[in-house]
Amino acid sequence: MRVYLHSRTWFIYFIMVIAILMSIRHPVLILIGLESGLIWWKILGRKLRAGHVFAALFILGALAVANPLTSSNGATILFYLNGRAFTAEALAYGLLFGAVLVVTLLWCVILSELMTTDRWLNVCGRRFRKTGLVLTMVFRFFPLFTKQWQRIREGQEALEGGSPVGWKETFRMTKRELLCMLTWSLEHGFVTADAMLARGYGAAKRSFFNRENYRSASVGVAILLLAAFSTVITIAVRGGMEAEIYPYVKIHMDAAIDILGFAAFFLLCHIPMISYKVLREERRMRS
Amino acid sequence: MIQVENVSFTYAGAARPSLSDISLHVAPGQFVLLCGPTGCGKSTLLRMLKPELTPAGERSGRVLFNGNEIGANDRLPKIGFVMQNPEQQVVTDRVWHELAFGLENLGVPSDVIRRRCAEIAAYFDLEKSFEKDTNALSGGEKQQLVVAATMIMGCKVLLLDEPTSQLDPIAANRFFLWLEQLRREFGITIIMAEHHLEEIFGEADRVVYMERGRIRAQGTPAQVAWEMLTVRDAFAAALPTVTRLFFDAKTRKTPFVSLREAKGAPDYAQMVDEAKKTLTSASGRDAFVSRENGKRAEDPAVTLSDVVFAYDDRSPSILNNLSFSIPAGACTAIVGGNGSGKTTLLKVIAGLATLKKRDGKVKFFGEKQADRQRISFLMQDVTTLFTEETVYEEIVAGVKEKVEQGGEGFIEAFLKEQGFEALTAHLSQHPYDLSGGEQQMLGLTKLLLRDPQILLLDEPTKGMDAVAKESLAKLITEKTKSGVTVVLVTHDLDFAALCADYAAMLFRGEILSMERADRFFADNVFYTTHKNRALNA
Repeated sequence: MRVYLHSRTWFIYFIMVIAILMSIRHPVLILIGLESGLIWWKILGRKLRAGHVFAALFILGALAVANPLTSSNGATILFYLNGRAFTAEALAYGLLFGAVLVVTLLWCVILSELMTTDRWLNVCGRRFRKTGLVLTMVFRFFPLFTKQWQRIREGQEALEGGSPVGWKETFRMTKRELLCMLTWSLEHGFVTADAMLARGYGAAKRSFFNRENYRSASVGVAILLLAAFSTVITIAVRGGMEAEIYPYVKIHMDAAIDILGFAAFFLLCHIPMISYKVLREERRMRS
Repeated sequence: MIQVENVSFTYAGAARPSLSDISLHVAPGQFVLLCGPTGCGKSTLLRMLKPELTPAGERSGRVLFNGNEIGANDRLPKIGFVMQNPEQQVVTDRVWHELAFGLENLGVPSDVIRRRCAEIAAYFDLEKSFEKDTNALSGGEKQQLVVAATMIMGCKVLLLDEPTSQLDPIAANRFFLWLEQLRREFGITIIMAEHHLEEIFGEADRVVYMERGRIRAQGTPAQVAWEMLTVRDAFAAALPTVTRLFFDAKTRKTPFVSLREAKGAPDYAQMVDEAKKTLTSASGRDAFVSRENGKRAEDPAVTLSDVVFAYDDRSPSILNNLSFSIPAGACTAIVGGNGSGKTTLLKVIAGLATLKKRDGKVKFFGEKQADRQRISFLMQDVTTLFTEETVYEEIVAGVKEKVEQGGEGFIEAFLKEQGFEALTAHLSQHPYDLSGGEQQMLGLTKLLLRDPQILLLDEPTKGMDAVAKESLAKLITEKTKSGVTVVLVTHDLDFAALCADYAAMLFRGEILSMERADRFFADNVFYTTHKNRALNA
C-alpha cells in the first residue's frame, strides 16, 4: 500500500516529535526516539558509520562530564574536585541532557532529509509564496556555491603550482578564493536576475503552484498524530512520565498512565513510516 | 512579426554606439541567424527586442512587435529570451518548479499550471526528470529545460543569445536539432545569435551578418556566404566546412550551405578530387595533409602507467589502468565522449590535491617529481583563475617581477606576440566583462607568462569565434615548435585537427588508441572532422 502524506502533515509530525523529546526529558521517550530515528535513517537509505557513533558518544560523554563540573546539585557525592562536590545525580542529568541532544540532532537530520524543498514550499503555501521561492533558490544556490569554490580552489592550485604551505599562505589563498567567490556570486546573481525577468518575474502578482491535495489518508494520519501528541502532553502535564533527578534519581515508568504515554509516543513516532514506499520512490526519481 | 526600424544604441557612458542604424523585418515562423565576430552587437540587438532586458543607454529608432511599438517599460512574456549559460539561468532547484516558475510569475492559477506543466513535460520528454534536482542535469539538458520553461509561457518569439557556447559540440548539435523540431512543429519565430555556424547555417531562413554594430549583409544563407567568401572576410572562417571547401567563385554563384546539398550535386565526386588536390598542395596544418615532420622525442614529457582513479570508494573508477605517454614538444589531443574521464586525466597530470589518492605512476621527463610551477593548466571554467579587479592587474598578478623587468609596454608586446592583441583594448576592464573567447585569452596569457613546460588545456575554444580559434591554433603550433608540450582535451575535432600532432581516444577511462592526428581523423568514421566527412564520398 502506498500512503501519500501531505507536506503539512510531515511538518507537524517533526515539530511534535522534536518538541516532546526536548521538553519531556525521560529516558524511555529518548530510547523510543532513538529507535524510531534509526529506523528512519534506514528507510531514507542513509548508512550508519563509525563516525556518527563516535560523534554521538562524544556529545554524550562531554555533557555527562561537563554538567557535574558546573553543578553540585544532587545528594550522592562521588568525590570532591577542587573543593566542589561531584555528584552522581549531576552526572545522570548530564547524561540525560546529552542523550536528548543526540536524539534531537538525529531527528533534525531526518527532518532535513525528508523535508525537501517542495515540502517546504507547500508548508509555506500560498500565503508565504515569496518565502517559498527564496527558499528554493537558496536550495539551488548552495550546492552550486560549494562546487564553484572547489573549482576555484583547483584553478588557483594549478596556477600556483601547488597547495599553499603554512597558515600564512593558506590565509592569503583563502582570502583570494573568497574574493573570487564574491565576484562569481554577484555575476551569477545578475544573470539569474535577468533570466527571471525574461520569464516574467514581477509582471503580475505571483500565483502558487499547489501540487498537493489533502488526501483522506493524510488527514487521517494527521488526526492520529495529533491525538497521540495530545495524549503524551496531557499525561506529562498531569505529572506522568516524570524523571526526577535531584536530589535523588527517581524515574517513574511503571504506572499505567506512564505506559499509556510511552505507547502514545511510540505510535506518534512510527505511524508516518507507513509511507515508506512513497518516500523510496520519490528519492529514486530525484536523482 | 518583429520590425526593427533604424535602431541605434549607445550604452550609458560609452563613447561609440554599439548599434547603428539597424533595420530588420522578421516574418512569423522565420528562423533568423545573427552572426558576426565577438563584440559586433548581436547580443545588444537581441536585448533591444526584449524590453525587460534592454540595457541602460540611449536608443533611437523603433522596435515593433505585432505592429505595436515596444516601450521601454513593457513586459512581454510572449517573447522568450534564452542566454548563454544554462547554469545561471536555472532559477529553482527542481525541474517541475523551473517549468512552473514563469507561469507563477504571471499569476496563472494552480490548476492551469498543473495542466500546462503536464503538457509541456509530455511534449519535451521531461516526464522522467520531472521530479529531478536541476543540479542533476547535464549542461545540454539544463539548456533544454530553460527553453521548455520559456515555451511554457506560450511565447511566439524565441530569442537565443549564443545558447550553445557553454555546451560541447555534441550537446550543441543535439540542442540545435531539438530546436529545429520545435520550430517545425509550432511555427515559432526564432532569432538566434550564434558563432558556431557549422550545423545551423544552412537551416536558417535568413542570415544577418553584423560587424561593428552594423548589418553588413543579410539574405538567404547562400547569399550571405557568397558575400563573405567573395570579399574574403576574416569571419568567413566561421562558415560551414562544406561551404568553404567547395567554393569556387568562378563556376558557382550559390555556395553549398549543407553537406546534404553538396552530396546531391551532380559533380560532387569531381569537386572532392579538386578539393583534395588543393588541400595537398596547400601548406599548413590540415587533417588531410600528411605531416612527415611529426617528431617523436626520445623522452616522453609525461608517462602514465597503470593509473586508476575514483573520486571515492563508492563511486566507479574514472580512470582504469590507464597507461600512455605524451610526447614532448608536441601537441597531443585527447578526445572522447562526455564522462570518459578527459578532465580527470588532466587533473591527474596537473597533480591536483583532490586527486592525490590514485594508484599507478605518473612520471615527468623520466622523473618522479615534477616542477609543478612549470605545468600550467587551463581549466574549463577559466573564470576560476580571475581574482583581480582589472584585466591588467589580472595579468600582472603573480608575475610582478617579470613584468617590472620587462619595462614599459612589456604586456602589450607580450599580448601581441601571442596573438592576443584583442585584449589590449580591454586592459582597464573587469575580467568578467570580457567575452567568453577573450576570457580564455586572458587565462592563457596568465599561464604563458609563467613560462610553462607542459601546458594542459581543457576545452580552450569554449566561447571562441572562428577567428580566435584560428589564432589559438597558430599559437599552439608555435609553442610546440619552441619545445612546449601541449595536452589538449577537446570536443572540437576540427580544432584538434588544426593544431594537434597526435590524437588519442579516451573511452571509459582507458586510452584506446594513440596515433598521428592526420591518420586518426582520416580513419575515423564518426569521430572525425567536418572536412573528412565532406570528402569521404
